[in-house]
Amino acid sequence: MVILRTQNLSKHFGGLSAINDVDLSINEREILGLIGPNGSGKTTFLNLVNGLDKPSAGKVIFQGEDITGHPSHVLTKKGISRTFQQNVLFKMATVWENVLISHEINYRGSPWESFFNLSRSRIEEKEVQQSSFNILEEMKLLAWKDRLCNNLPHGIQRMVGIAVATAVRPKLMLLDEPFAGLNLNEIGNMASQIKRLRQNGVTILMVEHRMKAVMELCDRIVVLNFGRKIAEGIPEEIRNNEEVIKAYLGDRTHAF
Amino acid sequence: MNKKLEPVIYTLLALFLFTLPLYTKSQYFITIAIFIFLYCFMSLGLRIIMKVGEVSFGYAAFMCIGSYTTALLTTKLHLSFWVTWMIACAITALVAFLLGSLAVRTKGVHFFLVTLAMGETIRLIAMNWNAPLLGGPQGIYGIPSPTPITLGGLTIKFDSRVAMYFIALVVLVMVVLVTWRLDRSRIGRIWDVIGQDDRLAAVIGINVYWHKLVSFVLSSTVAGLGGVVFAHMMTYISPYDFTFFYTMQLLVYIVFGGAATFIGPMVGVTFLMILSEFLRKFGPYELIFYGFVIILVLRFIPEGVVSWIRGNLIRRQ
Repeated sequence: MVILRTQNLSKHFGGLSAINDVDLSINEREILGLIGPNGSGKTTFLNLVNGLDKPSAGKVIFQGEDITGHPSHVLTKKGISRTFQQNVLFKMATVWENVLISHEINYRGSPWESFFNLSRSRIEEKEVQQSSFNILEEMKLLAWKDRLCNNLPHGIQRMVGIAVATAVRPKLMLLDEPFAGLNLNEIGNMASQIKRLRQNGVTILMVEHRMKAVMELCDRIVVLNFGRKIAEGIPEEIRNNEEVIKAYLGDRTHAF
Repeated sequence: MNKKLEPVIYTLLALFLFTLPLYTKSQYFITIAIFIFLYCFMSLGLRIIMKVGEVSFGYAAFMCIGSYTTALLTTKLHLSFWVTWMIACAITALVAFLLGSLAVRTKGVHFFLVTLAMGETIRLIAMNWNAPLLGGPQGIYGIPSPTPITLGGLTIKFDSRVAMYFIALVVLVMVVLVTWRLDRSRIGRIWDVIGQDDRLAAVIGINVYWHKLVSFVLSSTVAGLGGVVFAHMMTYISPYDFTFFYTMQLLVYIVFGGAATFIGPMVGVTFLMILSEFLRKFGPYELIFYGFVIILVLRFIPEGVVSWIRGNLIRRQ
């Protein structure tokens, strides 16, 4: 079953077309890799899907519903969450607070119930704390629970980014270079976390540069170059695709 | 500080403040105390919008709206203070909602400039529009003290300084309770993270625009309430009372005490206002001293006095 589909999705910044007529579809519980050289429009594509940017043309359809141009916070409620290429966290808050606040949309009551300290809100608060604890435990982050995100090592910050995106309880998660800057050990951890997410029923759209990780993890891969889709297929096909190799390494005649 | 000790300390402090007029007959002390209370809850109000990471430089203008509303209603229509303060708050909130719905679309320097422009515009309207009604640059004179309340044969009068003292104190307690609950509830948590990173806040599903607007309206309404207390205490208001320097001054108090902590702004207000009273005898050197103290604090403890004391003195014990 298709969970997300884009039709002729385009984004122009002035004269520059960052995304050009991209058609793409992701099936439920799939891990789809989105690769391409620097500046090929991968991050812009994620921004269009999760509402941080508005497309110039085309449609985004999520679970059969046209969500084109909806603002981010609305899309999050529909079930799309994401991580960022840089470590975007609430840096002056602890890991625990980051995960706790990310449960915000899962509360049934309005925040004002908690202002008046109603008993229902106290019960909900306990549930959310339990859920935050579980997430941190599963991601082996409990040891870092009370540290400010500002002072965490890069690898841990990346993990907390995933924890935050998980706490939203999404159906579709967009990961922007989850492996960037990680060492081999951390890459292993991150990969197993991504597999675990998929087991829990989350669909994943992943932008990544580390080819080895992409080839191992992804069910299918889509390649962008200059904002256009140039290839799509299982990792084996992509590895041997002439046009992809050319986009990454350049034409033999241009190399010299 | 011991967590169990804190409620005891705050109860004692409240008890002391509520009985303070028994210990002193000095109008001077009472007046300073009223001003400290006024600035305390005004700074707490400004801190509400600072929680979402913005500083509203139109803050004093909302105080202006509250002041003028209650002044006009009591002098021209002879309404009771107990009605006008509510109307004043409602009108301030309404104006804040309308202006805020434009202002909170911006952030950072732009928000600062937009609110500054809005604030000064409001003040200039008060100064130049319909002088017979608003009094032009001279403002409004003879604002009556709050109307007496009769409760079953017992009449409580409010025409003295001490009565104003209690009104200001009660408003302070109200604002303290509201902002304290805000700090400790999900609302405060949401506003905090909007201040830290509004993009991530949106991505985890928070309606940033709406929350910023609510905090702007709430913050401005506290300013309106401050304007009401100010007008009835001074009995005379003019547009010059509400320039953006007033907001600047509040901001200095808040930053001095530490915006991150709940009691920081109040400690900042109390300390600096008492300090400036003591420095008064040095005449022209007063402001130099005053400025010197502020520069020292901001240079060496930028997180504010309260955070510094909590971090360095108390933990070491």
